[in-house]
Amino acid sequence: MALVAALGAILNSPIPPVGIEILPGDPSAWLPECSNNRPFLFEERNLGIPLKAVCRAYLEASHIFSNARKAGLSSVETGDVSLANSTSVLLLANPAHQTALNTRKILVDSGFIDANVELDFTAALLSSHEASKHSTLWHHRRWLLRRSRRNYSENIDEGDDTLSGIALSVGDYRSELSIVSRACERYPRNYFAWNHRYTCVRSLVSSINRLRSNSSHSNLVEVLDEECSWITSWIERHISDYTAMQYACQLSQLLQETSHNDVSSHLTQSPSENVLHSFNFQTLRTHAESLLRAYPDHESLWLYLRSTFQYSGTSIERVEDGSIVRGLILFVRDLSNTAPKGSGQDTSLEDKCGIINLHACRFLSWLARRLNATVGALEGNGRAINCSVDVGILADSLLRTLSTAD
Amino acid sequence: MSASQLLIPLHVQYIKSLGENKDDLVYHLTAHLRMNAVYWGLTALCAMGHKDALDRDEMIEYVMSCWDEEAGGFGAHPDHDPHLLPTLSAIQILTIHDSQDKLNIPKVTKFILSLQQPSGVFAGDQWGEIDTRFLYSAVNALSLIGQLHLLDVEKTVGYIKKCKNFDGGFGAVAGAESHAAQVWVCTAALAILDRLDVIDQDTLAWWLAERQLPNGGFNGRPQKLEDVCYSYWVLSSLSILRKLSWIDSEKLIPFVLSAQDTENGGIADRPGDLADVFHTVFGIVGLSLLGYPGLVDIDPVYCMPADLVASKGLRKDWEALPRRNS
Repeated sequence: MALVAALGAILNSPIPPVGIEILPGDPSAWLPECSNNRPFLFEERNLGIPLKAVCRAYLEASHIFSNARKAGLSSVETGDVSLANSTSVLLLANPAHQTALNTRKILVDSGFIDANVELDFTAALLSSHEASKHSTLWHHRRWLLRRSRRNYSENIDEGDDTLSGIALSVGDYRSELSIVSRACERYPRNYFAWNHRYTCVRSLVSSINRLRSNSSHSNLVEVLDEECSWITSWIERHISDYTAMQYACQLSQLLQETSHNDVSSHLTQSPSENVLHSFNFQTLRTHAESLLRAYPDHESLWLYLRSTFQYSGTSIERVEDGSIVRGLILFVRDLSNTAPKGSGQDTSLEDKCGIINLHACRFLSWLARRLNATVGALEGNGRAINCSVDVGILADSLLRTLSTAD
Repeated sequence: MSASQLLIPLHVQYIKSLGENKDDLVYHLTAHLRMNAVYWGLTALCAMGHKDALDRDEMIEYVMSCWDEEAGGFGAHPDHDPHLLPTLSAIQILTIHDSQDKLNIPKVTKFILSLQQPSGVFAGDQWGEIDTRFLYSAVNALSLIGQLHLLDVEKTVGYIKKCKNFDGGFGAVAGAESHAAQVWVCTAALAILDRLDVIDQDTLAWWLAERQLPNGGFNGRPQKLEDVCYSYWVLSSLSILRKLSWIDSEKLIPFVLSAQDTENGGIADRPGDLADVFHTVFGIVGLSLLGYPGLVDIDPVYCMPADLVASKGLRKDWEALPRRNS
């Protein structure tokens, strides 16, 4: 039980670790003279713990936790230290242990654990690859933020797990966004981390709307401005990350919905200096097209381009100017024409060419459906998408359909 | 053994072995999923026609040991807090074993309904995490215990509508990226509520079919790796939409079979990885929907034996591929 106490003391300290890493193998490989009670490394607030020690600690902690729960949560007060220690070790080894997280919420509510310290502890947990994918830890953070920050609205629908209406500081926003970025680097396409980011940015926009004349207003707008340039450069560094592209579109939509209010009025003061001002679907579309020109074999980019047409106000059915649609068809046809052709010897090049054609076909058939155009090459049902259709024929027949419609 | 066919006796053996090592670390590390795992194992056995390979009384006893009388819900393990996910699994297990009489139906109904939020979504437990998975769990469970009439259908469907994305798919919460597993829970919940009209069916079916990769397997989101479990989420959703013919099953079947562990049984997420019960059940029920020979029909809405669902009068208008003889 001494191991759980030793680890628990570090994990539950008022200044928790900033990073946690599980090291492969057993302690002797890392710590030639390790003590049985302290078979881990803790330096400069980084905890490194060998896998075998984690396993031993987990079994010990399960035992302590189970006994404490059997004693009944009504006597939680008497067992606070052992509950705090055992739950922190359970979460270290098994971040999906929801009951351990629930118990810690009870300890926060009772004042035994400080909410800010708990935010630091979960940030450390989320620094690990395995932990960062669990929805429950992200929810735990939102729960803590709601508990510890002031509400500025009386109509917060807590049932929607929102952060809107909660008075988060500039520092809070920066901290949440950077924890998410780190988690998405360690665990690509991290679904729940991106959801958390969207929840935060919605909260940010609603805070900006509220604080029209407040001095912290411009600081919040700055965070939003940084977010717009951050996501653009993230996409350029992660061209297979459709989750990021979907997020960029959601962000653009959010800004569009609030464009009549204070966000834009603030921006008119210095439009040339910020990214926010020009962050819209037109810009995203140009962004998607330029990336597609360079990397036409990336499915994510094709769907990015689709997405930029789909949000309200820009949906393709409403594009009355047929030249945009024609331009899009020609763009796809050219991309497919300029795709590297296999020579028969280089199979990887041949595969690449096939993939580009597949995505181009899927794009055009999507376009045809959006326009309600009947295209001979696509007659029948959705099976066609997995067959190879000649992109040139498809594009030309789509163009003819458009001329007839004119 | 060759992976060119489904190794039924080996998988039955694998599932039976799962509950045997209660002292090992893996057992403890997965305690928070135990109830779900029992349901997955049982459903896989049902699909292979070996429902009785696990002891019925022992299983029911385990389920009831996870009942939280005060809350009115089930935990995943006797030491764990009640939650909607294990509550659904518990109800499914008891239903498969014709033991709903063990349930305190008024109490569990009250627990489930108490978790619905003003927006119509369900929280998983009293701490308030929300997800369309929990919404589906609530709808499925209420339907199985005959209490669906107590649900505010408009409110529930209202939240699903908020999760609908331009690509026709659904995410975990409003604004979240479309994800094949979330598509399935939303589609199946709408099927149970007779509200498939909410779905833009062609758009969604195209998105689902585009999840098939050149190697035959399916991913759950664009440009992710193929994974056996996604074949089920996609197949069951397409089956509910009656568009299972849109995908290439001739390429999918060998992919699922290639992810089998031909020595110890079980199916992994993809060939070469470690097998687990989660991928085992979804690999097998996916094959069942494709008409794979020797398997029992599985209902894609409830993910339970189709005969059982039909006998309770709950069958919806889904369509699987016809069962093949060999």
